[in-house]
Amino acid sequence: MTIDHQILTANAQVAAARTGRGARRGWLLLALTFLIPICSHAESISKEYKLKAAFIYNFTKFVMEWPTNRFAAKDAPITIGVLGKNPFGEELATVVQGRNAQGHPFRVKLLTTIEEAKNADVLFVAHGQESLLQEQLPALQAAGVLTIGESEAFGDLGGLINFTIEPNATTGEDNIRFKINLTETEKSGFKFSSQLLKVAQIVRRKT
Amino acid sequence: MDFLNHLPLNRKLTLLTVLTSGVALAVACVVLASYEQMNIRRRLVNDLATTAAITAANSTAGLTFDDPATVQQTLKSLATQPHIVRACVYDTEAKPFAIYQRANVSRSLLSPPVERDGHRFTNLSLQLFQTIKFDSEMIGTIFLETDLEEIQASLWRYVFLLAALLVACSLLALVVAARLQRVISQPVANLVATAARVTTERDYSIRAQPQGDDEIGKLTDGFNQMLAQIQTQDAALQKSHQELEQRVQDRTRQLADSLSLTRATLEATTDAILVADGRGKITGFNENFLTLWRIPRELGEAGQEEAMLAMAMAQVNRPEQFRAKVQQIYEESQAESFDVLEFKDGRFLELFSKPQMLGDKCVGRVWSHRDITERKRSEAALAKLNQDLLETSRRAGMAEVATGVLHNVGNVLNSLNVASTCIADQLRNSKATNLCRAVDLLIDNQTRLTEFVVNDPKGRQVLPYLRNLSEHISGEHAAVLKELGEVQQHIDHIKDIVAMQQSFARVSGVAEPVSVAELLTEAVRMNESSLHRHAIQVVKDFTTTPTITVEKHKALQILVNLLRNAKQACDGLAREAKQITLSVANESNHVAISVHDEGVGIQPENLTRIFSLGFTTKKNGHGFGLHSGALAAQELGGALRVASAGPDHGATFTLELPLQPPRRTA
Repeated sequence: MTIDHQILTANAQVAAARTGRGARRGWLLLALTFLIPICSHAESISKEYKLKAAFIYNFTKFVMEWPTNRFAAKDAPITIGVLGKNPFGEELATVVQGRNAQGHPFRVKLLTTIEEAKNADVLFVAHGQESLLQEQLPALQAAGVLTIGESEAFGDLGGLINFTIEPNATTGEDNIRFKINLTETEKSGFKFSSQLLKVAQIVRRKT
Repeated sequence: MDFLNHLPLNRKLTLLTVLTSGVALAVACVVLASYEQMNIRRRLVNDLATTAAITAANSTAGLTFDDPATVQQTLKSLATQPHIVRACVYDTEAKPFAIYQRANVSRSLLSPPVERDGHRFTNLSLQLFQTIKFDSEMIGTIFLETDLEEIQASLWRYVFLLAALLVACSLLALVVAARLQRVISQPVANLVATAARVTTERDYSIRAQPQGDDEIGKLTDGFNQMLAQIQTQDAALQKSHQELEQRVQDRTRQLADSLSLTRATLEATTDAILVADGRGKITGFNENFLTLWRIPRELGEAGQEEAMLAMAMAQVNRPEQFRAKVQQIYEESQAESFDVLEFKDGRFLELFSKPQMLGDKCVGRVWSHRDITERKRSEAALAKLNQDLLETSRRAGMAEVATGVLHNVGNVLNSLNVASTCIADQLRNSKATNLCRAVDLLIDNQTRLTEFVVNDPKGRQVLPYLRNLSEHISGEHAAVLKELGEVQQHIDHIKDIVAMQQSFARVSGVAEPVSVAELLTEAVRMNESSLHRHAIQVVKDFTTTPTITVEKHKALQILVNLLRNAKQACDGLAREAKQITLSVANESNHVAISVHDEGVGIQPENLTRIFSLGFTTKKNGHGFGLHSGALAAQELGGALRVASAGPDHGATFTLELPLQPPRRTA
């Protein structure tokens, strides 16, 4: 994602060229332009992953403490890796483009092997791709990788955050929710915001 | 503020203090209340903002992860703050995400449309919009509305507290001021009481109690000093008052003495005295005055000047002149006056007035009247006697002079008689008749004259006889001539005697050229002092005058005489009439100098007699002036004439003088 990175840098440079409120308003508009498509109309599947892409981005923001020495510098990029099949298309890259979490910019990497996953800071494992983990999940988490999945299998493996689908009685649409395995989270050295925990379903399970 | 002036000082001070502190406190309370309201509002806004911030923070995850239920839950916790009426969280699309409404609000309120960040107070509530940010990203907006009951209540509490404080402080101030004002009012009250005591008891020895060192203390000291001074002055005043009283008594006595002396003097004098003030008001008179003027006593004592003057005027001759004179005298307040009044009943009154001076100011006039009827009469008799005596003595004098002259001339005549007798004897005894006889003898012998002379014995004797006879007659002639020479001498002597007698009567001078104007000026100057004294004005009614050749002193003597006469004629005239007019008329060979006056005039019958020797109308005149003047005028080759329209119509004397003096016979 060199191109994305270059664009991001370019945007940053543009933003740096501006000053004060003008610059902030620019950022706000930019964020809105990205958020609006996420939250509104899209294809059913596409909408699900648009939301999930936004959620992934938001998770990074609710991380209060990354495991120690995770980043070399304060502005070192957060690498989001998608292991195996990529259900987001360009969505995830679009969502994180030009954004940052606690000063860290993003880059998205599509990973094919678990070996590559070791360099990622956030790892998304799509439904049915759990096998690619090859029992390496605890090791990754211990290394300080924020693992996100969307299947019961992933939950059973002890992944930190796991998307679920809940049917909404009033709208008839499915709501995307998520579970957090607090035991694993504490073990891996992550500290999530209490806000996040308030929204999530808390799971305490030892592997 | 006017009512303050009527309050006693202690009340005034108390009131002022309480008012001042009250006003200050009230202002402070208003400021405090305003400040408190501002603070309460700011605090409310801050509190609400804080609540909003907390709520927003608690809503971030719900908003981010699209979970309205958690946000709803968060908003429900606002129920712990009962003053919050409603709350709403909007998503980024400004759609309400979660809504909260206070339980006891009956109707459901619509969520207001999203506004920009900020707060505003409505009548009953405070509304606040605040953007919800998460990690510098705007993720929604929160709206909170709170009622103001609590802050209104607390504000009212505060106001009540302040009001109570104000009242309490004012009461405290009243108490304190009521006690403290005595510090000022007590000394002043003491001072006032002292002043009142001094006034009522009239005792200047009372002293105010000393009061310390402030202004009131100084005032007290000053008051005491003033009292001390007043006491001293009062004592001095009492003393001087007593002295003054004594002096007034002394002076009154002196005045009474003086008055009685004056009165006695006034009454003792035989003169009638009248005293008037500067405006003619009668201020005093004596008995003689009333008697003399025959004025009733009550009229005089009533001081009715006009009535008295009318009475006086009715008694005198020429009353209008008298009135004018009196008025004139009053106008010339500083002058003395002297007049003789003639009464209708034949009395004469000498009226003398003198101003009464007080310093430089004339304050009145004293009139002294003296009945001089008797004196006038005796004077007239005396004048008559004098006149007679004078005439007699003049005659006697003239006789004496004549006797002297005659005596001298008689003596000479004696000698002259002797000389003439001698001549007569000589002539009587003359041999001239013998000559006739001898001549007759010769005529008889005419025919034979030679024979007769040679032969005839008689004839022979004729020639020697003639010879002897001629010798004799020559001797006689010489003797008669000698006698005639003596007669001549005697006649010259008589001439000398007469001339000498004449030289006593007149001084002969030398004629000299002189200007008529100069003559007149000199004549006026010689009379100047008396003219001035009688306030007579001299008018020179001429412009150019000729120069005449004349014996100056003679002409001058005549003019001086004329002026003196004119002046005397003016006596007894009113001031404006006292005027002498001099005029000069230039004729072909002589000049006429006129002296005119408006005085007493001349009776027509006297016009012819006026130049005669010994005629005079003046009581002490000798009738020589005009007579000698007329003579002198004749001597100068001129004449002196008189013209008068009658008594009181003035007179004009005219002196005519030739331009050149007549050739004088030796």
